[in-house]
Amino acid sequence: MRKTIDEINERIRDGSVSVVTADRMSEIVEEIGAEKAAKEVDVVTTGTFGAMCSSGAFLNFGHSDPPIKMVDVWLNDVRAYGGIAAVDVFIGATERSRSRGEAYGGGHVIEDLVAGREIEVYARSPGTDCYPQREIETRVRIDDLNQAIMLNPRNAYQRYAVATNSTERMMETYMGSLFPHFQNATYSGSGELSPICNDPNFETIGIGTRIFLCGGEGYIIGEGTQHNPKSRFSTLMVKGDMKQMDPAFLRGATFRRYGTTLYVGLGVPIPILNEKIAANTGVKDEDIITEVLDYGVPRRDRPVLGTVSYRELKSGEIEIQGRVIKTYPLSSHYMAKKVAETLATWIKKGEFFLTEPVKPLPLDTIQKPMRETKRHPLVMDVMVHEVVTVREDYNIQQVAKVMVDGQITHAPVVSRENKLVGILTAWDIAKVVAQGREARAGEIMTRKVLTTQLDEPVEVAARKIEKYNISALPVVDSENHVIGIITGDMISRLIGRK
Amino acid sequence: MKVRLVYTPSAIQEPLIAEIILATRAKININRADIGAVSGEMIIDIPEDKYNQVVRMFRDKGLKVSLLHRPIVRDDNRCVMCGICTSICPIGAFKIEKDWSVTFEPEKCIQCGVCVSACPTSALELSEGEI
Repeated sequence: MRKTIDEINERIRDGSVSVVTADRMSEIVEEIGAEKAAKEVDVVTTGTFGAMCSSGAFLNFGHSDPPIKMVDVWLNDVRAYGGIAAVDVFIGATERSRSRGEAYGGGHVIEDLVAGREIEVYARSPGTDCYPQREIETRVRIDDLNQAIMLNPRNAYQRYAVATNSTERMMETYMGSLFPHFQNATYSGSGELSPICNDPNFETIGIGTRIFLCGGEGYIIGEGTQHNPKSRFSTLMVKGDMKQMDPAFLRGATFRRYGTTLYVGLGVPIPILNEKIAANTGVKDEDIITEVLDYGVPRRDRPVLGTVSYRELKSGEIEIQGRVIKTYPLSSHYMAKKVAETLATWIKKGEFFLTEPVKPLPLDTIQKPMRETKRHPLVMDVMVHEVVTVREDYNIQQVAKVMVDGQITHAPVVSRENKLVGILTAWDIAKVVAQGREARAGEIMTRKVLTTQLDEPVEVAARKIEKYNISALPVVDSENHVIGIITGDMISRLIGRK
Repeated sequence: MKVRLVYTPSAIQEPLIAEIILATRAKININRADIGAVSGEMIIDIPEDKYNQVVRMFRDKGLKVSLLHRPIVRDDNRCVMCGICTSICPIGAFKIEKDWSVTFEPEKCIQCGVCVSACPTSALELSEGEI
């Protein structure tokens, strides 16, 4: 059984086309097999609706009189990139407002434009002979623009790694709030509805594929950035006319203490040209496996704690290393389904036709880490090796003497086995003295001690010191022996901050 | 029934809650309390049968009492039903339904407000209450 895209388009035209959403197709393939499914179904619609930071828009304002070369540009006080022709700019989803910070950003500007709301434009220029105007202030709506073209360098990740947090502290990330001690895990992506999961080898998806983008028609214009098909992390680069879009299918968003982004609704129609393609669209949530990462480790290569399927993720809890963790979606399954259903309706009503891709997306690209030519200083490069510690059974006088003799204000507290059990500051000692009481180091020390390791980059240690407003971090080895200390002062001397 | 109490400086000095519970025997549940030296606010849950009596006593003591019908207001034009609120809410007032829509049970809400700042699309707002 073979069909062509032309034949399917003919069926769309005469109203006989058979269209189902990807989740329904999974059931059909299971019930009647891929061969029969390929006969019965012409198009499978997919959908995803998630926060996609690598999104933005090219806008053209038309020329003012006298004309201006818009160099430094702000839209609703969000900086847009003006380093292209005079009245073209690019506004990116994660750019934050100058005045409102993370509460409003590029994603919100895009939403406001699509919703037909007026935005404030302010631009400056050094002035040239051909563009004498040096400053402009105006208000525009999307209809006032010549072009408003969404162009997203990386959308619709095939799948995404799950985020959880091993540390003792809450983390605010682009994967949402991660509670301490693995209390939650967050995930993104629509699983069996995900566009690329339904055609992972790009047998139908390619450059020129017409898609649903934020309620309007869009196109795939190539592989997305970080496209990594071998690791099942493929991505799409897409464009669409914002003037056609529907504000219900995109949303400016803020992830607390991460910043702004844009929720993008994206759906790809998969033409069922043969049995193999039908079999691929039979993919189910349980077939789509992804890794669970520990975001508590602030490094590029975060530890993989295990693997889970989207079925497990959608069930509300996963089991990782014998521990049951509650899972929460960041992308909207509700809206993803709505995208797939809306696209199906368009096709059934004869309002949307499929395109033959000009070129399939590559299957051989990989994602490389950044080439770094300057080595980041590590904790071992700046720490003090001769760290003065106190034993947990020392009394106040002994601790005070150690601090005074060592000219230090922080003393890690160690056990008989020389393992770190707490930390004491001069302030802790002062408090006990002020109260006129006696105490042992072990009774008044702070037990929860943040630590660092020899090979941790100083930037990461500095972030801990700043975030938790502390002044020193003991350096420990794998057995929790204190082998050094690093203080805020040392870091400031090294990198000139705080 | 949930109400918000706004304390006056003089009322803060008195063991008001204790007095009212002793007088009415109402099983009042304190959901949230933020009492400072000169001002304060509290969200309490009052059993329906004692509601009028308890509210009258608070008002007699000069407190501002407002009934919270919907402690959190959701703008359905902004909500995208992502479900992040279900993750952050400490008492599980938000729920993901079978069709992946997200629902809210106002009677559980203690107006802590964490969902308001966690909501990525700014769809949630604390209600100031009625009456």
